[in-house]
Amino acid sequence: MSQPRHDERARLSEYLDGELEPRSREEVEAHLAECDACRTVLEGLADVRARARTLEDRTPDRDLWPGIRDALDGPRVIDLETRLRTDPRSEPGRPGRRGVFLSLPQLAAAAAALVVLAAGGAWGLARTVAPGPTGVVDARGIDGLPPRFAGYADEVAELQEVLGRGRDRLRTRTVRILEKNLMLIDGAIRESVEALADDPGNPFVEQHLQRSMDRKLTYLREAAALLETTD
Amino acid sequence: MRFLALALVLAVTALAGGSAPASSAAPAAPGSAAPAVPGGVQAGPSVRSDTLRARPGDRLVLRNVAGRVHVRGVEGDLVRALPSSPPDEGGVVLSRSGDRIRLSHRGRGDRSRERDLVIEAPVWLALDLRSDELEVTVEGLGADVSVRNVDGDLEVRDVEGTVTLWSVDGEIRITDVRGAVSARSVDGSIDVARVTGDVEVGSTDGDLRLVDVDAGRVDAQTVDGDIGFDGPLRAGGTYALVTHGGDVTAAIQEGVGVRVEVSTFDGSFEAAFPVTLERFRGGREMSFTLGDGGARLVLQAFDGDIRLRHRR
Repeated sequence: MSQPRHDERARLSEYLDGELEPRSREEVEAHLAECDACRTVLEGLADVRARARTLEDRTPDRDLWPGIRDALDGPRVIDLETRLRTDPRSEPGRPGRRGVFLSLPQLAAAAAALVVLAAGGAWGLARTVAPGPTGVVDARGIDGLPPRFAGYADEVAELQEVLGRGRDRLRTRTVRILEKNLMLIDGAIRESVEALADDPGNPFVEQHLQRSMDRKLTYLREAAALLETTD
Repeated sequence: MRFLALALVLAVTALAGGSAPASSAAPAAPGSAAPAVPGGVQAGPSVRSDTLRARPGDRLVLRNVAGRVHVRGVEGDLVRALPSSPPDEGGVVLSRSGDRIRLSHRGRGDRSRERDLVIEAPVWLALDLRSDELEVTVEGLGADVSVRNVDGDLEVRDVEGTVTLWSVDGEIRITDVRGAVSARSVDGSIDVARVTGDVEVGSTDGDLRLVDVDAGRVDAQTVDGDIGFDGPLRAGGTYALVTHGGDVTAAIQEGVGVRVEVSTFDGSFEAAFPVTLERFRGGREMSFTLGDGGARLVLQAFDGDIRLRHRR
């Protein structure tokens, strides 16, 4: 019976999800029985996924927007090894469901990172600052956005970091289209904010701005999900 | 002469590797030299197809496919995959994993290499397709259809079931569907015609055109595109047509009972028939009721014009 090579990360992932057909499952189990490294990686993956799924989208209890807006003035990316990505298997626009999809070396690193995080008694996203162009993530915050949208900014920043880090895995044409359309959405948001400044309290404009912000979040989630399908 | 040609074809097929071995779960004989197939894609003489028997509850799951795919519903319980290009590769294999029927490519070719592929599937077999670069046509299925694609046009026609489509760059066309429709395109227009079922369509940079949509709920939203709606309104139904930078045109049946809510920030509203306004705010927001007001029609264009007329 042949055994999977260490670089067949999809099989481990599918094994964990119970998606392998019986023969493949037996092959993976046979390999796992003899391979400590892969067994450790599998355990790490299971742990990462379990923890990731406990994360919920939440609205901050304080206004994070000013700080995030300042942070967005410079490109920032998140460390891929501990990056949580939107589950591509979720339906378009379906919020909240998350998964982790990493290569074996990344899984090993993720497992190690988990140990460190667990030792520290905290779960979080290790963030790093990287120089250079970020393309999709270059969209800046919108000046004058009402404070009630601060909760959006947190997830927007996170998703933009994901996209900036993973843009090399998308074709140039796709990146260009995503950037162009993100600019369209940001333009709509900006115009709504300006309209609200001209006509404060206008219920239609308020609703339109809310809708535009929702659209941006959905858009970024779907774009982030693309990174998985293009692996 | 015909026998000579047939013998020649068989010889070429045998030299090219012969017919595909039957899949383990495929009692039906695999195809060999495939005939001309529907959908405008012709199967060449050296390609090899595969056939697999589907079971109730199965799904056809397609991944890592590039090029053109035409999925066509047929009677019976056999799934048949007919690749037609490029002719120098080893063909395709259908296999089963639980309730999923998958397709893979035989031979050494690049799995992501573009191919033309026709798949004949039982009409009751659900389809789940994801790809990066693919032109997709689906027709004649009586089951749910889900397609998620990055680059390429998507067309679904004559389907009875839920249709869910998503694309980054490509036009989406949906016709003759009996079931709920959800379609989103980042950069491309969406055409929906002759659909009976709720419709939710959205684009960032694309027009949305809905004709003869018979639904209790319609939600059409785009950022930079026009929206056109021409369909019957049902009592109790809600119909929302929302754009930021385009125009909205709605055609409703004469004599229908509907409450109409119109909003624009920097556009205009024009009705092709007299209406009596009940609410009017700064020339930008207004509402009125026709008949018993049983349906609700929401028309919003932030920076565009809104027009309302009767169906012809």
